[in-house]
Amino acid sequence: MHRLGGAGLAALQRQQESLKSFDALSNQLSNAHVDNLHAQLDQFRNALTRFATHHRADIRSDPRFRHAFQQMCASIGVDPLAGPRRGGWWEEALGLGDWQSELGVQIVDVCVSTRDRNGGLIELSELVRLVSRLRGLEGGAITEEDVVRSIQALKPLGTGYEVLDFGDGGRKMVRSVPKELNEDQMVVLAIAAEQNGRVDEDFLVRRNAWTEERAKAVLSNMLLRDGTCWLDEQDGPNGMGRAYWVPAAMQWDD
Amino acid sequence: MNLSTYKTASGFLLPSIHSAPPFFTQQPNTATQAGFTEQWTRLLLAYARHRRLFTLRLEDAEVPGGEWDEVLRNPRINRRLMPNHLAHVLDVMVSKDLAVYEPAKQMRAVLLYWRSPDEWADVLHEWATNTGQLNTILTFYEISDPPVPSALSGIPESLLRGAIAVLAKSGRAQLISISDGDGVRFFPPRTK
Amino acid sequence: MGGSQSTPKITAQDRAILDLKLQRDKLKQYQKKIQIILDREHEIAKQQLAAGHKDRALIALRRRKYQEGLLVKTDGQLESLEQLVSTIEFSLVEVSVLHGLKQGNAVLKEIHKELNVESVERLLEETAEAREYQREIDNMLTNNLSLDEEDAVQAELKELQQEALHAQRNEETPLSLPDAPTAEPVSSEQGVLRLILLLASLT
Repeated sequence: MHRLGGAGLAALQRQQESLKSFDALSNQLSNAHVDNLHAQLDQFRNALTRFATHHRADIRSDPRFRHAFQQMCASIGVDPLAGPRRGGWWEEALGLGDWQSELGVQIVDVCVSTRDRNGGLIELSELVRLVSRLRGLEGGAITEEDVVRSIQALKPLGTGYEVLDFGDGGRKMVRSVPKELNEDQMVVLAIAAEQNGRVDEDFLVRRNAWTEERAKAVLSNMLLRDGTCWLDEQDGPNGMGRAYWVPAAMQWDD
Repeated sequence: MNLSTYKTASGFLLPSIHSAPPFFTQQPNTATQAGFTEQWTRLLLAYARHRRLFTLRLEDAEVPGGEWDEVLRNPRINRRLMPNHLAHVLDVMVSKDLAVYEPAKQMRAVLLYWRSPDEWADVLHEWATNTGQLNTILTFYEISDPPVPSALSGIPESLLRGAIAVLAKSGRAQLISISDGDGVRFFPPRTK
Repeated sequence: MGGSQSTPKITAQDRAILDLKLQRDKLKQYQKKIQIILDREHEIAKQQLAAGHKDRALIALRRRKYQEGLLVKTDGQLESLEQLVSTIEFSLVEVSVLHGLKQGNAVLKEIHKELNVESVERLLEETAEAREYQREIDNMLTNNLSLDEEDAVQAELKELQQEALHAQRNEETPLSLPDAPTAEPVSSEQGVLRLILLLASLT
């Protein structure tokens, strides 16, 4: 997932920088033009702020409205999360800093409390469901987009929260431990996502043309070192086979 | 295919984790296993309470046809809790005072505390009071096998003795022993 | 009922009542065992009949009849025991009530007087007389309705006895069974006798 063209103020500054360098190189843009650009962007920003303040309640409670507003910000390269204040622009302009922070805290809460069970890997939809439950009815609806954006805001904290996208329009997972997932693990996760959570060595070898050792190694790491999958020793028709289950990729009814 | 809860023939609702095949394998990852052990513990105590089962033996995991099949086995996914795994869970339960090895000095069978001895003491005294049997001498048999089924029906002797001992401390019960056996007399609570 | 917070002392009477109840429990458990055997033998008889072994079915039925007879006997003993328990407990309750009302001793003496060695024999005599005797005790303490209940019990008992008599008449020679617990009923009677003697010695 791409960031929205960089942080708002930083983007603006960067634009300024690049404009200046163009100026230096080509002498084509006059200072007046640059100033004009500044002024226009400022105006636009103010208008956006007024709009946001006016519709604060809607932005807070209605995900669709919130989404539309985000799109609007994105179109001019403004990232409402950035900015000198803690909650970024959200907090400055909209007083939604607390809303954003609250969501962030709830996400961390859910990830930490499920970590023992899933090794720090949780399916995005499951995360949304559990956070929603935590928030209750008064919290207002939140979407996957809200959660993803919030996770990105956590990035500067260096906690290692990251959204993993399997690209096929299907599952997304959230990793909440600093350990980077290597490519092989990502492959295993993708396969698990396809198969309702179940993976076995044979399948990995056949599907990816891996050696036995390679398949064993990645499964062993996930099982023993990272705790991101569970072992089943009663698999297969004879009830004595080994299979591995990724809880983040399993579909739970409750 | 969703992992869902399941209502057994005896009316017990199994949690969705019981539909997950790995739940029946002892996990090599200690953190994961700790989580599973806690879930198994809760499940076993809840089932014992539901069916009024007091004893759990390794045998119940070794041989089918016992009282615990509904929980120790899941035929829908063809999995069962292995005796070694059960032994581990029992060990943890005993260390948390949720069960005791009974008889003592062995590790194949436990008495389950889905009520603690203190709780049993209160239930016992309440029953004696409500059935108008205070200040009456009762045999253990009368308590564990009453004509009208009660909260104490089927209670094993050791558990009953434990409850009586608790009550004796606060003067709410008195053990009477003769050569042929023991009895107990309950008293109203002491006035403050 | 007193300012002392410690539990009351355990008296000889307490122990006597406990002993009585333990004997009663044993009888009850014995009855349960017999009932299980009865049911099993009924099943065996049915199975044997279905398999065409009429003679083996007959044997099972005879065994069953014999056990039934034992059951009836123990029923009678149980009834006596239960009566005794409730009477004694009742008399104890009465005693404490009477104490409270300061009417005490006269009636108390009367009760204990009756529980002497001679009257013990009457308890073990034919059931109807024992009932009569018990009724006298009851009347002494209360003047009321248990008469009807007593009558009903008497009638039921008589019915039971009649049935048993009929069964015995229709029965052919019972086979000797190695595992028949002939010793048991007698020892229960002895238990009752022992207990009553113990009570009689308390005054």
